[in-house]
Amino acid sequence: MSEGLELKRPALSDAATLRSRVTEFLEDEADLLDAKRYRDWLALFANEAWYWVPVAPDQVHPLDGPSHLYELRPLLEARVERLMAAKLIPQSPPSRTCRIVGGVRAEPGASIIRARAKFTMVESRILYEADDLEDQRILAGEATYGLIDGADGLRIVWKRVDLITSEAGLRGVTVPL
Amino acid sequence: MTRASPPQDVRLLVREDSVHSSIYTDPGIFELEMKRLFGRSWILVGHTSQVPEAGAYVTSRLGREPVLIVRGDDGEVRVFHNRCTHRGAKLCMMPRGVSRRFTCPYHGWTYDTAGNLRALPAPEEYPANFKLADHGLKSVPRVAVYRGFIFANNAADGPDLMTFLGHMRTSIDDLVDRAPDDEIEVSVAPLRHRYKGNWKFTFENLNDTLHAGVAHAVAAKAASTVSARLGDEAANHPALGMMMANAKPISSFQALDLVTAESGGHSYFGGHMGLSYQPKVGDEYFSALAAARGEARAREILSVDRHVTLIYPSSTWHGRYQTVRMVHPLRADLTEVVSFACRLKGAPDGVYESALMYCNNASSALSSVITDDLEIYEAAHRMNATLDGLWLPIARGAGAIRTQEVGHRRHAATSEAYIRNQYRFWSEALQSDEQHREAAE
Repeated sequence: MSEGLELKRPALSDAATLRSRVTEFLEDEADLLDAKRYRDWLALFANEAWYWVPVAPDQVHPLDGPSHLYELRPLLEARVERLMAAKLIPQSPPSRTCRIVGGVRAEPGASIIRARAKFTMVESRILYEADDLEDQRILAGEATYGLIDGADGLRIVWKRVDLITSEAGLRGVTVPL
Repeated sequence: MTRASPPQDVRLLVREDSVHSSIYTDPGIFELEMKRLFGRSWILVGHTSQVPEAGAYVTSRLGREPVLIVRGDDGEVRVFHNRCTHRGAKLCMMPRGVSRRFTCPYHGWTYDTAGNLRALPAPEEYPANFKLADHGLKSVPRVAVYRGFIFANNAADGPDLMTFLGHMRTSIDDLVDRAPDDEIEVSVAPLRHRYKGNWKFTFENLNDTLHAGVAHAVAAKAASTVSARLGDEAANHPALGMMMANAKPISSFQALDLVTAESGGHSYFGGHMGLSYQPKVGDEYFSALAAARGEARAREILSVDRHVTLIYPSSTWHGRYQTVRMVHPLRADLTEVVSFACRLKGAPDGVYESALMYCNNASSALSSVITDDLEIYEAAHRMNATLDGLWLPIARGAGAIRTQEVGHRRHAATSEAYIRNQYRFWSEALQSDEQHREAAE
C-alpha cells in the first residue's frame, strides 16, 4: 500500500479512537486472564486501584453492604500470589476459561476514562469423578472501569463487576472475573 | 446419590468415635433430618431490622422450607410458610419489600400482614361452611426473638428458645453487647454461597482448627509474602492478617479452649485471630461504648474473644467480627450459606467497614480462603457418595475434657469434641418416637 492511499483513509473521531483503544485494552485483559498470566494482569492495575464485585446491583459503595469481593491492591496481590502457587486446592486441576468481552463503551472524563463492557466467562474444570454432566459453567455480567491514560498507556484505577447471578448462591469462583 | 440402602435405625450410623459416610449423602437420612432435627429445633430465620415497619417483609428459610417474615400492622413479627393456602403456590415472589396485602399470583387470594385471608375471587360460589378464617396463612408454630434475632420452630411443643440456646446465648450477647446503642442491624442484601455437599460439613469445619494450616496453607503463604513486602503498611490491611492466622502452629490452637454445650449440639472456640487481626476499634468506638456502658463494662465486652460459635443446626456467629450466617440445607448434596454483616448501632462507620471486610473474606464464594473450603466440601461429598460403608473417625481429643462447668464443657480447641457432641444430639433427635420409647423402657 502506497503512502498516498494511506493518507486518504478518513481519520477516526476521538470517540471512536478511544473506544477502539479501550476495547483492545479490555480484550488484552481477558486474554491475560485466560492465559493465567495473573501477574501481568495485576500490572494493568494502578497502585491505588480497587476491585469490587458487589452483591446487589443497586449497591453504590463497597462499604454499604457485604460484597463478593472488595479488594485494594495488597489484597489483589495476595490473591494473585495464591493463584500462582503450584498446589492450590481449588485449582487442582486448574480451570480452563474462555472470556468474551463485548459491547464496550468508553466516556472520557477530566482525569478518568469511564468504560463498561459486557462479559461472558465459560469455565471448565474436569473433575473426573463428578457424575452430573456439569462440565462447564457460565459467569456473565457487566464490568465497569475507571481507567487512566498515563505514560504506560491505559491502567485500571477501579473495576466493578456486576454478575447477573450476584444475588444467587454462588459456588466457589477461584479465578478472577 | 447413595448406593447403600440405609438402616432405618440412625443409631447404627453414629458411634461415639466415628460416623458412617452415608449420613452425608443419603437422601433418606436428609428427609429424617428435615423432619426430626430441623423440624423440631429453633432455627435462625432472620433479624427484626429486616422488617423495620408495618408491612415490611423478607423471605427466608426454616431449614429447607421457604418462609415469609412479616411485620404486622400491630407491630408483631410473624413467620409464615410462604405458600398460598389455595393451591400451595409460592405467595410472595420477591425476596424483600413492603406491602400491606399479599396477593397470590395464581388466583388472587389476598392476605393481610397478620396472615388472615381477606379476599378471593367468586366468594359466592363457595359453600356456606367455607370460612375465610379457616384459610389464613399457615404460620410457624413458635417464633421467638432474642436481641433482635428471629428464631422459629416448626414444633408446637418442646424446649423454649432460652433453654435451647443455654450457655450459647452468651455468644449472641457477645455480638449485640458490642453495639453502643445495644442494637444491631443486618445488611439488606446478604452474601450467599452454595456448595454441592452436605450441610453438616459446614458445622464440622467451622470449629475445626486443624484444617486451617493445611487447607488454607497457600492462602496464608500468599498473604505473608505480600505482608513482608509491605512492611509496616501491612497493618492497614487486616484481611492479610486473617489469611495468615490460618498458618499458626498447632500448639497455638491447643492453647485455646473449645466449649461444647451440654444440651444441644452447639459449640465455640476461643479467638485465634486476636493477635494478627484487630478490628478497626479505635478510640472513637471505645468512647462510644464506654459512654453507654461505663469504661469497665466496655473493656469487659471488648475482651471477649470467641472466634466462631455454632448454634446447631442452623447458624454460625462471629460476634467479635459481626458476621452471622444461616446454613440452609437444600438437599443432602446441596447447601446454601447466607451471611449477614451486622452494623453495631451507635458505633463509628469504621467498625462496620471492618465487619464488612471480615464478612466478605469469611463468607464469599470469591474469597481467597473460602474457595478452599468449598472445593474440599464438594470433593468430600463426591467421594462419600461413591463409597459404601466407610466409617469416618471423630476421635481426636476423646476423653480429654479440660473442665466441666454448668451447662458446658471445655476442651482443647484442637479436639473433635464438638463433632461428637453434634452427633450425640443428632442421633437423639433423629430417632423415632418408638425408638425413644424403647430407650426409656
